[in-house]
Formats: sequence, structure tokens, C-alpha cells
Amino acid sequence: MNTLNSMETVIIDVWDETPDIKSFLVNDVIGVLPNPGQFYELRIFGRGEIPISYGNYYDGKLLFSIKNVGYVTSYFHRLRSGDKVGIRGPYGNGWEIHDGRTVLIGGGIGLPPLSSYIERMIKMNRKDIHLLYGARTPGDIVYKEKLKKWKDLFRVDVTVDRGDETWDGNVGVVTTIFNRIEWKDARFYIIGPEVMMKFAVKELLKMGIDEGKIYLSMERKMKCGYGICGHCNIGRFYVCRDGPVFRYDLIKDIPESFH
Amino acid sequence: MIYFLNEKNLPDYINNLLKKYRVYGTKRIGNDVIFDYLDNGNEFYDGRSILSPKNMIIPSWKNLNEHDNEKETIIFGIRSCDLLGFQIMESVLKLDIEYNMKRSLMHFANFICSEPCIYGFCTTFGGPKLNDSGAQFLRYRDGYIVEIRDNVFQSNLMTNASEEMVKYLEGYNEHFSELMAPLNTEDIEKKMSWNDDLWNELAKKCISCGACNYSCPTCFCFDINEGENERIMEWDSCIMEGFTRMAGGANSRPDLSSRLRQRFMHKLSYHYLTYGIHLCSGCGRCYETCPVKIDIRDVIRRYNP
Ligand SMILES: Cc1cc2nc3c(=O)[nH]c(=O)nc-3n(C[C@H](O)[C@H](O)[C@H](O)COP(=O)(O)OP(=O)(O)OC[C@H]3O[C@@H](n4cnc5c(N)ncnc54)[C@H](O)[C@@H]3O)c2cc1C
Ligand code: SF4
Ligand code: SF4
Ligand code: FES
Repeated sequence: MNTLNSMETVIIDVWDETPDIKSFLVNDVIGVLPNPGQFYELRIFGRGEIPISYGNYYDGKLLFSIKNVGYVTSYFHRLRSGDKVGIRGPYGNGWEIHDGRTVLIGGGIGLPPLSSYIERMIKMNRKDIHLLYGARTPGDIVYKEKLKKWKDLFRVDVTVDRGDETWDGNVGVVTTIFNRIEWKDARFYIIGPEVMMKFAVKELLKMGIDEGKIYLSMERKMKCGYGICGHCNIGRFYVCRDGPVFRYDLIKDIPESFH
Repeated sequence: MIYFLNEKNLPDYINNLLKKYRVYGTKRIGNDVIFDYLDNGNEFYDGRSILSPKNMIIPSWKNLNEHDNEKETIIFGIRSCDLLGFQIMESVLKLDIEYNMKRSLMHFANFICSEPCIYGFCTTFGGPKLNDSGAQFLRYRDGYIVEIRDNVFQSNLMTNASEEMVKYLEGYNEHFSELMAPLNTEDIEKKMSWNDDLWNELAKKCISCGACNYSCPTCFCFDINEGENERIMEWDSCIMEGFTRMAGGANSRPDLSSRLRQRFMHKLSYHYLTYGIHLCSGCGRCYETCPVKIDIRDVIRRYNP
């Protein structure tokens, strides 16, 4: 859908994930099976448009989870089921489905794009994944139901930066649970705030992981989503079109990859 | 095919085009040459326009909620640097459905400059005579040599070109290069350096006005913002602080030196590494309009003295 014109769709359901993250279930009116890790441009008519990764695709419905951080996202948080939104996509490359094992590392609102990968793997009856997920506090953990379900299928480790009385799991940033990684030959799919990705990569390299096995999903300001408006340009890449997923060794030398 | 058109016949030639097409051409207003829709052939003025007609593809301001009727249009009088600008931008824009629709309704009549302009360096990028699919007009004695590749430009007002004319056209770039020495861009895409102190030096002068982006026939970046009843597409500028600023304030190019580096490296390195052409047609307008006279030619010379 390489056009700025979005299609109209309806929100089927909305619910709170955390105090500042809501999930939305919308009808897929586009009819293209997205790759895990791809994103859509979601629009509120009269307000604006934002790039959002999808968290799952099933029964012709798309799941999105949106954190309230600014102008358009705050209007998303006022929407109810039955409201209309604009949609175009899917955009970007996404995570490649490959034959070997995958270690997924996510922070905060980075779980939805990993979820699209996990759900696809589950559909393919594959369990060779290991998820490491970090959130600020127990209350900031998204997809709690899914995490429970996934724990029965493959290894899931969750950590929080700051615990509370309900929390009996690990406390510390996500890199503090890297000692639980057993698969050194896996591919590493990472998404989260840029500082988190930076430290995660550093730690993985220290553990002897090959640069070419590390993949990052990058975030840049976006407007068009398919490579024509210029906003997300870094080096010779457009993050929306050539990414958002990049193999680490291909972007590490671009000074603007991390800021 | 190559023809000759006497200048006496030029207004009628344009009038014939106007019978079938919209003609967006150069005309003179005061001392300025601008692009506008022509009502008749006499309005046409053969001169270098202040701005390229890139707004035909990337509008400077447009409400996307209003759909206009696209009509077959002839861009008449476009200079070679601006035409090359369209060809360069196409490498990126061809991904877009609307672009392809608009572009398929456009025809270009390129008027090749008969003498170098003050700031241009189009010979650096293969100009001024280009290989284009439209029509190219080259001033010759009392008229124009016209090379036609697009049939909409055929006319019985033209006669076949003489052998001498064909030779003149073919040797034109060589002749022009003697008047306007091309700059050396060899390997510049590899030689440019992120850590060059040049970016800091330029940042001390630049006042972030964005004129360089807006006047550039190859800058295609645009913004979209939506209001109650409008969705506005407008030119954007990588020199501006907000260009990469994300929600919460994170910005991958927070300082002016990194944004100037972006502008010049996108033009002379990044785009070349992907598409094999530079994102610059050598029109010289960025230097011409820059209030503090930052010169892209100096950037090229720094790497290839
Ligand atoms: C590929 C990709 C996938 C994303 N997936 C998700 C997701 O699943 N869930 C989620 O909550 N957030 C996601 N984001 C971030 C989300 O797009 C931004 O939080 C959102 O655009 C902020 O918009 P705003 O209007 O509220 O903020 P403002 O600060 O008011 O931003 C104004 C405008 O700038 C642009 N913009 C600002 N920040 C960003 C940004 N971080 N990324 C891209 N464009 C930006 C948008 O066009 C936005 O409308 C994703 C970003 C990218 C690039
Ligand atoms: S960068 Fe400057 S010289 Fe090159 S095309 Fe743009 S305005 Fe013209
Ligand atoms: S025209 Fe000159 S002063 Fe203005 S933004 Fe460009 S380089 Fe800076
Ligand atoms: S968002 Fe427009 S080029 Fe990437």
C-alpha cells in the first residue's frame, strides 16, 4: 500500500494494558498477511497518523498496542470500540522467519512486535524461542495473559527495573538476566528504547555472540512509512523501507544509529 | 528525431500544445522568471526560473483531503538542472502510487541554457544536455534545435535539422564544459567523513533557515500534519531541529552540525551509495539563496581539491 491515502476501519475492542498503554483490536480491511515485526500507519481523521507495529494477526483482525506519549497517541487513548480509524500498510521488512533458534529481547512497548513473531512461530508449531522481556515496574508489563500462555510453550524470562510487593521475579534491567541465555548459536532479535538496545548489544558481544546474528528494530520519526518522505533516513537506509529491522553489523558504523 | 523550430513559430507551437494540454511554463514577472500555467504562447519566456517546478510533484503546501483532477500537463521551459532534479527524485518517489500516476501525465520540454549561469555547475552531473524522454530545445541562430523523444511534441511547424545542427547538439556538452569546468566528484561518496570538522565550521555560520532545502530541485522531503478538516502535505527541511525529533524529545540529530552533515552526505554520499546518482543536479540555487553563503561546491572541493 504505497500510498498516503488510508483505508477506513473500525475498532472492535479496546482495553488497558498498563496505565499508559492501551490495546486495540481492529478489522483488517487491507487483506494482506503481514510479516512479523512489520508496522502500519494508523490514523485518527482530523488528528494525525502514527507508525504502530502490529502485535498479532488472526481471524482477519489486527492487534495494536499504543503507549500514550504525545499528540496523536493521546487521541488514540480516547477512542472506544466502534470508532473509526484510518489504516495503511503493512510496511517495513520485519523479523525474518528462519530455521534456527531465536532469542527475543524486548523492553517496554517493544513486546508487541516480538509478539507478532512469537504468535507466528506458535502457529507453525515451533518452540525454539527464548523470550527475555523487561519493563519498568510490574504494572508496566504488557500482554500479561499472553506471557502466561507462552511460559507453557517455551522459555520466558521477565524482569522489572523496580519491583513491588506483588513481584517475586528478577529485579534489574534486561541485561541482568542475560546469564539465562543458553543458546549462543541463536539469532538475537532485539527491540526497545535505544539505550536498552545499545547495552544489550554490548553485553551480547561480550558473551561472544557474532555481530551478524544480532538484529535490531530501529525507531525513527516517520511520516510516510514507505520510503518517500525522507524523515527516517540514516546513512544509506530509510528505516521505514529498509528496516525497521537491521542486522547489527550493517548499521553499527553509522554514527546516528544510536544517539 | 532532431528538428529545427524558428523562434517566430514558438508562440504558435505552444498555442497548438495548449489546444490539447495544460502548459505549465516559464514566464517573466518583473525581473523574475517563474513557472505558471500559460494562457497563450506569447507569455512564454525562455529563462532560468527562480525555483524548479518540483512543486508539481512535491507540493510546497497541499491539502490532501482535497482531490484535484489530474490532467495531462506539459512542463515547458524547464532548465536541464531542474529536469535532472526530477529524474533524480524519481529514484525515490517511484515507490509511490500517486507519484506514478502524476508522472505518467507529465511531459517535459527542456530548454538547454545557451550560456552558463552564475552559480550553476551542471556539467559536474552530466549536463546541460541530458538524455530525456521528452523534448530538448537548444538555442541556435534564429530558433531552436529540438530533439524529440515524446510524440506529443511533434509539430509541422518544425523542419528537419541540418547535419550541422545535429553536430552542434551532439558536441554541446563538451563545448559547455569549456565554459563551466565540471567539479571532480570521483569517489566522493566514500571520501566524505562523518567526523569532519567541516560540519562544525558550517554550523557556526548556518542560521537554520532551510532556504537551501526549499530551493533545491532534488530535495524531496515532505511533512504531513492533520487538522480538523485538513491534512497538509508540505515541504520539510532536514536543517530544522524538528525534522527527526520524536515523541518525548529523543532526537538523532539534535545539533546543527549533524543536520548539515546529513544534508551534504545525503546529497553526495548516501543517495549515491543506494542509487548510483548524486542527490544534486548542480543548479547552484542553494548557494544563491543561502543568506550566509554556504557553498556546496566548497564541500565537493574539500574532498577532491
Ligand atoms: C516502526 C515503528 C513502530 C512503532 N510501533 C509502536 C507500537 O507498537 N506501539 C507504540 O506505542 N508506539 C510505537 N511506535 C512509536 C510511535 O509511532 C510514536 O510513539 C508516535 O508516533 C508518537 O506520536 P505522537 O503524535 O503521540 O507524538 P508527538 O511527539 O506529538 O509526535 C508528532 C508526530 O511525529 C511523529 N513521531 C513522533 N515520535 C515518533 C516515533 N517515536 N516514531 C515515529 N514517528 C514519530 C509522528 O508522525 C507523530 O504523529 C513505533 C514507531 C516506529 C517507528
Ligand atoms: S544541492 Fe544545491 S546545487 Fe545541488 S541541486 Fe540542490 S540546490 Fe542545486
Ligand atoms: S540556506 Fe544557508 S543558512 Fe539557510 S539553512 Fe541552508 S545552509 Fe543554513
Ligand atoms: S517514513 Fe517517510 S521515508 Fe521513512
